[in-house]
Amino acid sequence: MALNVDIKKFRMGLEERFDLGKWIEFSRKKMVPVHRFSVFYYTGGVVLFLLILQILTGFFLLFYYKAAPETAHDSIAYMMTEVPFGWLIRSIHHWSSNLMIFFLLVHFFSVLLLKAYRKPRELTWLTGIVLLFGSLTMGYSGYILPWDDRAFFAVKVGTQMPESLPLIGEQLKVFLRGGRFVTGATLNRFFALHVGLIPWLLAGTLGLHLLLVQIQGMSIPLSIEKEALRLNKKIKGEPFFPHYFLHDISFWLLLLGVVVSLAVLEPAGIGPMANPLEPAPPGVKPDWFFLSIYQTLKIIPSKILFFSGETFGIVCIFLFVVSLVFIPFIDRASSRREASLFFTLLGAVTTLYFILMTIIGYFT
Amino acid sequence: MKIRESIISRRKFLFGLILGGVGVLVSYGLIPVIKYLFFMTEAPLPKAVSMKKKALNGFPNNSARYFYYGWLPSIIIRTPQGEFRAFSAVCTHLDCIVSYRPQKRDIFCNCHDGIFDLNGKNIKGPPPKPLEPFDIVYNGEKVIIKKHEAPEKKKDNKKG
Repeated sequence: MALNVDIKKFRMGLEERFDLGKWIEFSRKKMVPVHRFSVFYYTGGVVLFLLILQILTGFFLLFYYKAAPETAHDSIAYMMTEVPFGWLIRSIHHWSSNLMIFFLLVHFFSVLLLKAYRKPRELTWLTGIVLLFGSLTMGYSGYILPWDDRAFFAVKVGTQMPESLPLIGEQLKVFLRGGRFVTGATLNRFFALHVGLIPWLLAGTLGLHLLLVQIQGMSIPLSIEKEALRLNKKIKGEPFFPHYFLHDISFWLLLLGVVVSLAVLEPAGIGPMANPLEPAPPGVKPDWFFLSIYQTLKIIPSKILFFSGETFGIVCIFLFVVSLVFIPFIDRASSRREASLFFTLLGAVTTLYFILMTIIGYFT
Repeated sequence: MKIRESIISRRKFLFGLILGGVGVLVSYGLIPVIKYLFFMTEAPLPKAVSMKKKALNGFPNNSARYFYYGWLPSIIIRTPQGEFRAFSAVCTHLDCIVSYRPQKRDIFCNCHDGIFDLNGKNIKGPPPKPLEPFDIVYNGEKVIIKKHEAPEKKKDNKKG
């Protein structure tokens, strides 16, 4: 009885100060469609949860990480071996980043294939593209910070690639490296990107992305809409609060268990300290989320038409990334709620290509 | 709904279970985080440090030099009478590093004008405690500086 009275008083206090009533009413009235593809609605929330986990563990890592080539590697080794639960904090950061990118890609491909980018959600798609590439950049800049042999060659190769781009290539390389060669200045830049610039960019963009989702609601796939129209049935929905919200929280808790289990069973490792005078370690490869690009560049012939194979490949990849931005504006059929076979096939081929090249890159 | 015989309703019981579960989860998360953040990064101080006797050669009377006792900044003073004395150089007020004033023959803290005598005792200003003293022991070609043992403790050790 005492507990009930206290909660009521607490709620009344919040209501008087923050007018919570209208927010609670909004979340109770907000409906989330339920259909055979609605499981994909959870992927966005899962990415958000993993991002929060990353930010928290990332803050804690800042207490012991020293961003200079002489100290970066040792500070991480110290954190992993001497600091109580340092191995756990770092391993949670490592696994939550990998799982976040995994679910982010699932979210991206599901939006692409289900055409959730169509009108009126073009801006949500654009902010999503920024978030996707911002997160991939976070993943890349993050695995450079330990400054081990793998990180060193990852940054060498990754910052060399933009040089192939016409006009801006050389300047982009100098900007990323802090010079023409990979040095301590490069580590400083990637640390600044990873801890400063990109998190703020992501936070702002994420805020806009979430606001748009709240304003416009969840997109319903065209096939579901057509089916409902054909059968003259209303699409089922469940209240966001408490139904969808509780499902979301359950997934998050489950995922927390998965992340911690992975952190305990497979703690994050670190290779030997980077040595600029040593050759690349045998079998060195990028992290899994870049394997499709790595494999693509491997299979391109050394010369295509007048261009070097590498230049051709990098330019094509760059153009593909840029073209993603324009998809909602080119796929007019989807905006008119009509079938758009070309974009469905394009989406399917892109998804399969990514999965296939990642698998091939991993096993070869 | 509450069955007449039960102490609490099913809703309260389940709510309590969930709250308890969340509490356990949060505390499981908090314990490693607290241990991680409150870790003492300094290694414990050594029992003694040693230096070669010739390091003290050419050490004029009424002067001082700094050295590290483990990670602790420390000061070794040669009094006007030629005796060596060693102390922690960390002021007991707010951790500033003290200096020796040959003209006043005292140990002075610039930060808040704290003054210690040549025994390390706080004699003026805000420092609340004396400077931590070290014992200096000569062992052949070596000079051993070790944590000061109070005379009573030394007696007990002898008895033991």
